[in-house]
Amino acid sequence: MKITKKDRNPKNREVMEENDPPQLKAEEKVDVTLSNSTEENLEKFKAFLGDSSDAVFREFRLGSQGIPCALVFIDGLVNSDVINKNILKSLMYEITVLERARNESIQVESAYDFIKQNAVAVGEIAEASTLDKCMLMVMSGEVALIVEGSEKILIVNARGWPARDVSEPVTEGSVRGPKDAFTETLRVNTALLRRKCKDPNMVIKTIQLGRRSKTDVSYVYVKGITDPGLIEEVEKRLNQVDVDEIMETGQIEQWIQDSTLSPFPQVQLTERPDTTVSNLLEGRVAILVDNSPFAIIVPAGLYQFFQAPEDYYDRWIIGSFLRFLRWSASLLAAFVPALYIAVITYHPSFLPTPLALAIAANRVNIPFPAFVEAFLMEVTIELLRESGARLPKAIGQTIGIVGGIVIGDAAVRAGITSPSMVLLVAITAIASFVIPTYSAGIALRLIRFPLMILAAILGLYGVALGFILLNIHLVSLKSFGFDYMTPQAPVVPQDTRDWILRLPRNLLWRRPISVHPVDIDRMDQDPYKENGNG
Amino acid sequence: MVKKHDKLGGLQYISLISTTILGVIVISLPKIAAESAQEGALLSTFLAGVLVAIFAVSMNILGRRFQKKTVIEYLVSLLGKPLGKFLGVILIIYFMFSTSLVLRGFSDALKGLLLHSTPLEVIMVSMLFTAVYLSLNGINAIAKISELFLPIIILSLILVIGLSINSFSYVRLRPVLFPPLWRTVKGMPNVITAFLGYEIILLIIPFVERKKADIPRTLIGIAIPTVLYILLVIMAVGAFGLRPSQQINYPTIALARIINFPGAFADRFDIFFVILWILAAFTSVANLLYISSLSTVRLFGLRNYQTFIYILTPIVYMLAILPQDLPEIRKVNTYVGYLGAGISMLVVGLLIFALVFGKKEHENG
Amino acid sequence: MVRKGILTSLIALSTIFAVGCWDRVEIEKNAFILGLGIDLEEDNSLNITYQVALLDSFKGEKGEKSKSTQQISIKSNSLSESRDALLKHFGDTPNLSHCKLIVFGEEYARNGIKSSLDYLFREPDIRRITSVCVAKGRAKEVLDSEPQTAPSSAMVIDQIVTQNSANNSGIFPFPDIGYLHRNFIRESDVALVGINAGKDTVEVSGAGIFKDYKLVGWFSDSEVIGQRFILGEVHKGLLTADLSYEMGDRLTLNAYNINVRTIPKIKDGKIKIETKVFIEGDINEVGNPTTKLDTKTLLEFWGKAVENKIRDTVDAAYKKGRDTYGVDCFEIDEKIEGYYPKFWKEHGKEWNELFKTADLDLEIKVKIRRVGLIEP
Repeated sequence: MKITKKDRNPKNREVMEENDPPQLKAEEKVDVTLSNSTEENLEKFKAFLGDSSDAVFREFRLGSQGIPCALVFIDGLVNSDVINKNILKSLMYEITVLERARNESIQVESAYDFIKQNAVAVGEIAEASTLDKCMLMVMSGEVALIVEGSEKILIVNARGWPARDVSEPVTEGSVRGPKDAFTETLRVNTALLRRKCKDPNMVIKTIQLGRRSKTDVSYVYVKGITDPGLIEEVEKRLNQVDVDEIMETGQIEQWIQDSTLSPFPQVQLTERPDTTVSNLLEGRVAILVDNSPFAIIVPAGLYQFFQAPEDYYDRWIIGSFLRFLRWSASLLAAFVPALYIAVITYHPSFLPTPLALAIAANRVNIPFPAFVEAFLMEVTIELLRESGARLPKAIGQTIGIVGGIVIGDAAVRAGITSPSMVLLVAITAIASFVIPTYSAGIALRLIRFPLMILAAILGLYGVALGFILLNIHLVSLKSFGFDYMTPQAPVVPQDTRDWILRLPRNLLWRRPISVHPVDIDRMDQDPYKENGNG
Repeated sequence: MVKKHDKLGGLQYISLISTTILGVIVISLPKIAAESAQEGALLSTFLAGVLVAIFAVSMNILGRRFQKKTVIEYLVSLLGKPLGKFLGVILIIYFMFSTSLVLRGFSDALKGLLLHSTPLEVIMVSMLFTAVYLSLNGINAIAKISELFLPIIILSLILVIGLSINSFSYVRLRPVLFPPLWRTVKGMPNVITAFLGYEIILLIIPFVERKKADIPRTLIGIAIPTVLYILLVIMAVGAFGLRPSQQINYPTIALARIINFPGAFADRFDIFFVILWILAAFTSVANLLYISSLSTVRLFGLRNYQTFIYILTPIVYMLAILPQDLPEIRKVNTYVGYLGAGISMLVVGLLIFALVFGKKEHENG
Repeated sequence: MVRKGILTSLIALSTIFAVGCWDRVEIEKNAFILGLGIDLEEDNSLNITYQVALLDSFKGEKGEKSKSTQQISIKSNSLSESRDALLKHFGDTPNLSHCKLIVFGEEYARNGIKSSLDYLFREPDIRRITSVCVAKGRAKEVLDSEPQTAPSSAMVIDQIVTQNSANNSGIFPFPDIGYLHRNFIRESDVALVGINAGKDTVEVSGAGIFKDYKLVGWFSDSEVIGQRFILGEVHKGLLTADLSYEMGDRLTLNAYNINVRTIPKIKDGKIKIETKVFIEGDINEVGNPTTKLDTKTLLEFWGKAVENKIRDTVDAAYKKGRDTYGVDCFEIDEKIEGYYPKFWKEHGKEWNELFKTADLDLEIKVKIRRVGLIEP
């Protein structure tokens, strides 16, 4: 791992040479191999960090011989308690006590080993023999201890930074089930996973991605369940990520997804540890990114976006009902505006006579064609949603009231839109929020615009064509090589037990076969046989 | 694990056969049957289904003798290069004519039913483009779409049949229950054209998992349209009477037109049915377009079928737009029907030939 | 790459299509025609009346009651010409898809309705379940009348004939185009619901009998009941019987289950129509409830009385149809064709003659199940 990479684009070099001072020429000045002199090593650190005000260089003398040593760390990323009590105190004071007790004095040659073995009262320490590795550790919040006479630097874990506590999930709230959500600290997140599943087969592997951000990215799977091919594929795709910075799981998602030309999410994003763990146990792989409270779960099928954790926590009838509701709501959200336009402008005969006459009567004074009217209203509601989402909660509600009630009512009174259109737009807006996954909801809201255009051109035939095109797109989508439309296309009879219906737990004795788990049974196939009762 | 091209499953095999057969013709089938077979409408539909099943099974058996080979290639290995290639060309012509016929039939019906003043060309081109989009995605996508739409198509027909049961009268049905044999046989060639498209079996067998493309599945694939056709004939004749059924252009739509939509938001079931019927027509057009280009590619021994879709699409469009009026379309329909029947007979002949003389090519493919 | 190319060309194509929108008619730009009436003028041309819905009166918020329909009469030679002429009367597009009712004027019906049937069968906008009836008087009067229970007379009549015919056996049960078409192609005779119209009332009364699609006479309400029994199209309704005062004066039976089976029999070239009727019902009302007989005898007697009444009704209707008009408006020909296809092939052409010799053989059984809250 290199601190600075050579610029690949030749243009960059020119720019750097023209502008002075150059961005970072430290690499040219500094020899990155470590020496055994504290002063020299310290100079190397200072060449990089000397300009930064939060970098701390603490020089001190060790023992009776006065061996020069130094601590290098970033203020704010470390726990100063640990540094004061467990490092500095033991190195500056307790070590002299030790010397006296053993009646020997530490020599420069053996100082490093002595300190490593006797004098640092911290659980997790490491060694670094290159400046690169050392610098990375320092930048992640560890303390570098430079000792005279050693070409290695001791890395002491004293991480401690302000972090958000584990709190309730914001985007995936639930009535039943655990209320904890991932936070921005990777270690906390992995701990949350371990708390939910104590299987030692659950593997958490970490790699660093991002040329400059050096973000920790962990992928989690359960050995013995997850398809090895899938793990390989995940590793392969993660290693292809080559960018400056990884700030969020969403960025990883865009790097590893199969099709960039699709509005539909091809990985599942969740901030719930319970969702993550149950997906892991179904044979999927989760990807966690430091600084992001979201986990990616791959592979994802369309049906997963209609599942909420409560489906499993509640009784199966209720879970199935809720799922059915979500599927119909999604169809409603995507197709109803288009169907309305098609019926109103092309096939008024489709409506019962009283309804047709009522809608026609309400539209008599509307100056716009139905398509323009619907388009205006849909855009308005999207604007309201977006502005409501970005504003503080208190103001967001006001916007909701102003938009929903005032604009809606005023538009009808002003004769710009008909009451039936307001009703329709409101219903579709509500329906589009029923889907538990935010990104899937957005995709559905997006596709209704092309559908509306098709409906305006060709009527119901256009809507039918739109439906066909949508389905073609969906069946040709893949998520990590797995079919996106399982278990509908191709039909996987076993998996349909946990699809629109969520059958009783004792019937779900297999993991989803479409994910190709190594171990397909998640319970004894016939739980009643051995118990001898129902 | 990450397979680029999965083999097709059994259900996909069944639905490919069924959706290709169930197409434009479902809306006019009772008329065709009643017109050509008169009192034998019901029996001839049934017998046509049986005959098609026999053809389909022969195609299946023949296809499975040559693993990894489509009809285009095994014709050559069975009959020698000149004759085999010639028959291959005839097959391609047949598939292309079938595609254009289905496309034209669809566009004409839709124009008459829903979009009276939209130009025929627009309907055709939009449908063709959608079919091209699907065909370009390959056999897997086509199979999945078939699988996805087949239940919808079946359900829509069952709904039409079930909801119009109020108008059904046993007395009106009685004349077709005791069919004269001669009329039945005479009507069969026309009725068989309603099953047009089952020849897809000739080409898809290499893509299906080896054990899944068996005879029972082939029979189910044929049985689904046959049963639906029989029910449609029963319903149409029972609701309208035999002679009126001959007069009504789209009896299935007429059945849908006497249904009041259950529920308050919509009134006319026929429009709802037409929308679902568009799906049926689409799967036929797309499947036929795909197998036309596939067979062309195989004839030239090339790999990339996608180029040929681009080449074939304008030709199919021209063929579809060429007939000027209803009689001409019917004439083309009849000829294509005869061609299809001829091909099917040929396959049976080939099968006997292969069984007697041919060596097995199971292993080397 | 290929997929991208296709997508772009599709989008480009759809923009070209966007110029078109050929069939687009905004819903408020439709002139919804609710009813269609056909009358005969003195110079033998047609006078076609369209009942057009006035959209303002169908708004959600009701102000004072205004007229909800306007009738536009057009003199023309055919239906399609008159529809074309409608375009000269208003700016909207005439839309027949919500046409609820087609009325033939009496005079036009007597002259023959064949000329307008083809359009009604061919036009895709007109549904097979659109109600058809014949006015006792001019069709325009029916459409002009303004009943207060629904926005338009066409809608009222449509509701009566489609919904109430199941409960009231005096309403002719086949009021739609499908029925006309079915029989038109088989060249058999039909009957249509008769309509009486006042200024603000409409009433279904009896049925018009057509011979060769010319109105030849009327069935009264009770004859329609008889006709429905032969048709086998009666399922429930009120049945009455007149009795002597001692035996109860007048009896009303609420028949909740009526089962009719009509099967023609041909023996030595002679046609016999066997109709078996089975009725279950409750006593609804008795004119004189002070009879002294015991319940069992009384119920048996009443049952017999109802049987006789029905026999008379059916016979009267049959005789009127067969002897007075010579019209088979009972769909017996269809039954013959169904049960004796060979016979029909040979003799179908002479059906009008054959029908005159066909006899009706009635077998009626009435069971009175319940008597209500008091003893009979």
